[in-house]
Amino acid sequence: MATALKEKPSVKPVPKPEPAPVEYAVRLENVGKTFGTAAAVKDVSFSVPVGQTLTLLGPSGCGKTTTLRCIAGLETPTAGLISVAGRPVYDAAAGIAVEPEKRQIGMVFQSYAIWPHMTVGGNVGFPLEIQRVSRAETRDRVEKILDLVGLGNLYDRSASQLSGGQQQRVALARALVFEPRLVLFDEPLSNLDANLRDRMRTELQALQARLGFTAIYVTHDQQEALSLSDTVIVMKDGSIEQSGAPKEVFQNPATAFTAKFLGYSNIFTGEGVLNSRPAENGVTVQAADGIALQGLWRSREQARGGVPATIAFRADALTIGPAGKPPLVGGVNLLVGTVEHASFLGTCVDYTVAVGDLRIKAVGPVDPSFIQGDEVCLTIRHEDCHVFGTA
Amino acid sequence: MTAVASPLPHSPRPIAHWGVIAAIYAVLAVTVIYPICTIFAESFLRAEGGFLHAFTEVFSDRDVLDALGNTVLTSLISVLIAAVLGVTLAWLVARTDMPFKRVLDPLNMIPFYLSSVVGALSWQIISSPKTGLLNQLLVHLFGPGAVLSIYSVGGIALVLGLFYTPYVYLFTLGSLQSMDPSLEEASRMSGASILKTALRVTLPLSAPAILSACLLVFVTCAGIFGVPMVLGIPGQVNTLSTLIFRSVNDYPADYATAAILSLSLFVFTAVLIGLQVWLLRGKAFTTVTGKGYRPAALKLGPWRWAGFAVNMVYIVLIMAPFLALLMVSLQDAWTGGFEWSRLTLANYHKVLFVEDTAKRGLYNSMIISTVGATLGVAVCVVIALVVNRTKLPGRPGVSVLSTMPVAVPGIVLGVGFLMAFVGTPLYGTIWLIMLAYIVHYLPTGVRNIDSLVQAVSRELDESARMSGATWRQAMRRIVVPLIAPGLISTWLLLFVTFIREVSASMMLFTFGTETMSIALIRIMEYEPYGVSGAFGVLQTLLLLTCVVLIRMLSNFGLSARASK
Repeated sequence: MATALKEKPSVKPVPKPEPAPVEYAVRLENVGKTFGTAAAVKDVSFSVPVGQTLTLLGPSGCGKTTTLRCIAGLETPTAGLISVAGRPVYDAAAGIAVEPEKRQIGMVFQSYAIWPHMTVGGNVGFPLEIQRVSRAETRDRVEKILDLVGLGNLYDRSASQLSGGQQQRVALARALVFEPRLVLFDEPLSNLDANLRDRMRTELQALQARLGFTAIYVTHDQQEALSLSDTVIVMKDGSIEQSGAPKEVFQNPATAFTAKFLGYSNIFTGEGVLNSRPAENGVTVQAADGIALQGLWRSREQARGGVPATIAFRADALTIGPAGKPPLVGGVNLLVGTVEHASFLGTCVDYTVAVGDLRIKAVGPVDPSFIQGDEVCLTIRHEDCHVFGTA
Repeated sequence: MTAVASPLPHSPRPIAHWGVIAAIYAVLAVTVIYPICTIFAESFLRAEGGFLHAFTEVFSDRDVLDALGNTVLTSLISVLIAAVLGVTLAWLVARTDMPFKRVLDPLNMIPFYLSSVVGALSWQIISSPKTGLLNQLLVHLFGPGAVLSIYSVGGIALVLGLFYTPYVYLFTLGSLQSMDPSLEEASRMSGASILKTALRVTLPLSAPAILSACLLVFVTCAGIFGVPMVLGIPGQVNTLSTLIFRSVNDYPADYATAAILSLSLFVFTAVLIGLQVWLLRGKAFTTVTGKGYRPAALKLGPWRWAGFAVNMVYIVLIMAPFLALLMVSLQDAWTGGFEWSRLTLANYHKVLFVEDTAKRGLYNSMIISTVGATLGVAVCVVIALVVNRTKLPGRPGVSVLSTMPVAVPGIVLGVGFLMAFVGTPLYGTIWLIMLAYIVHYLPTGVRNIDSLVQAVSRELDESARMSGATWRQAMRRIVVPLIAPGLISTWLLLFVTFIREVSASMMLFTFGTETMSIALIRIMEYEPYGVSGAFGVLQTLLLLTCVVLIRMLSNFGLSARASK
């Protein structure tokens, strides 16, 4: 490849004064939004590098959609600064609020918002029509983008006769047709059935790789967030709870809230004791009478002993085995209990195991499996148990 | 693709725009606030010896007290008739297996669109002492002397009650249809009979809707002018509204009394409308839920035919007088029975081509109603879009101002417009009458279009904004086309209302600006029944045409929604 490049020196652009390169497609600084007295978004700051994907993740009411709508310009924040491609579109101090249509941001809405009184071509061509692009060029570009989303033959179809998946694709085509450099997605996959959702997710990633736009997703679906994005931001009550790469956030939740939201189904609270095992930040949590669990302190603030702490671990991080034969490994918590409930899920078995007063959720293989009443032994590595301060 | 993206246009704008909202406030101030304030000003400033003195003076007058009593009495009887009929019919249509209810439902609504003045004229014809068909029948059945006098409090109340039954019917029907049917089913499963369930569960649950409709009918009847004018004046029965009219039109004109009476009627209406709004707070009875469930109809057994008979009685009471009117209008002279030898279209020829007042009335009403309905819809669309689809400051105030005229009876609004605009060039033109119509029915229009706009998902126009459309482009290209069928319905509704309007017109017309209803009332004074009958029939046909169009549109709208 390198030699091929060398053979074509004319490709190299003539040096000319250029504006400073735009590092970030979007940057939010201390953005806040209150409705009356209720604060929907509080002091949110983040930035998305050009071409990357960011996901705002959180339960309903956490402020993720409001944040997205502030970027779009559909809501006007009450504080802070938002810049798109290096230019401020909202600045509370300077009194700037650029209208949404002037921001050149594509958006895919949760309901898809396909206009039922137009054809597919009319819907997708609308942004170009508004920009007074010629009829022929519009037709050309619409057909190209429809091909790209796999709806090449539906140009003249009435938009009210589309299936959910087709509406999704029309919405996507409409958001991309005017070649925005930033595209916002508000729960884009939540109205699709599971199969279609997986397929669309893959297609979205392929499209983004091909077109190179920057994307911000809003979702409450952790799988969607983890699979689509370069960065995940978990939001709670209008504030950012944690942000980072998907793997980082998933494996090292910084708060009990994030852990719970990311599917850590075993969460217990008890007194925590610092003991520097297996690492410096080791803590033992008295989860119930006579049950002490060893884990690692994950909260951002300094670890403290003698206070209530929360320990969280995933059901699939546990290993389940017959009670008589505890595995001979170190560095694990060992729990013996009785299977209270087992449900067969096809590829695995979900268990609820009674260990003293605790009810522990575990996942085990189909073979060998256990039934209700079986005595089992559960093990989990110390580093898979995350301990947080209980505020 | 990213390479060709054009640079981001940089057009920071100040966060607030006051222009639009200021313009709306200015228009509403001149057309809504100013006329109402004029009545206050006239009452307080013109009154000799101070307001209190003048007020006591007016309300110790024998005639005023009589009129007050008549007003309350006619309104009460009207409400009683409308409530009993409206609730019964609504229950039969919404909850039972009454035969032909799909046909009866629209028929029950017809009086809603017709002119009660024409209704009064028809009743006058069928109950005239010697030649009236109804009185002939009564004499035949019960012997001489059994004659219904329509020129009485009872007569006025009967016509009003029959004409306002659809209001109670509509409110109750809405409430019953939005009620969860399992509430009634639970009552049946607990052992209650159909009747007991209706009385103990269904009715109490609909009580706020019914009560609210009754209040609305009560205030409307208390403020109504046309029917008391046609039926009351011959029988020397005055109501407050006819008294207001007479104090302005009798010689010498007594504007102070008119203002004080108008003010009293306004305050009375406003208080009751306030109560009605409070009763309905937080409830939208016209909500169309996505759920297509149709509650199972109660099986009435043989009684369903009794239900059918009850409904038919109402329809006959409405239709028969109009048929009599049609018969009379087709005869060259009315002798108490239809004769083929007297069949003629001469009366129609006369009102269409000869009789000047009738010709003017028809012409003026067509202009006023066409232009007025168009302007009215346009104003209401702007208000509804600004209130629902912007974040401009002062929007709640726009809502309040645009619903205020609902508390002003037509006659009072007419007095206000008269006093406010009598010195301006607008006075004596049809445009002032049109303006009064638009203001009076602004709440109807805004409410209709408001619900249309609210039914359009916000994401539909937000996605247009994100596609680069300005607010105006998004409204014009997305929201307005989507609500177009509803806009046409609203236009037709305003057109119908304007065609038959009496009260405000009566205060504002001058020679040459008579509207259709005014022309009808005038020619009733000096032409035989056949001629006024023909004019009434023409108006009714015009209104019925609009009803059919409205029905067709709403069916079209529903089927379009269902196919989605």
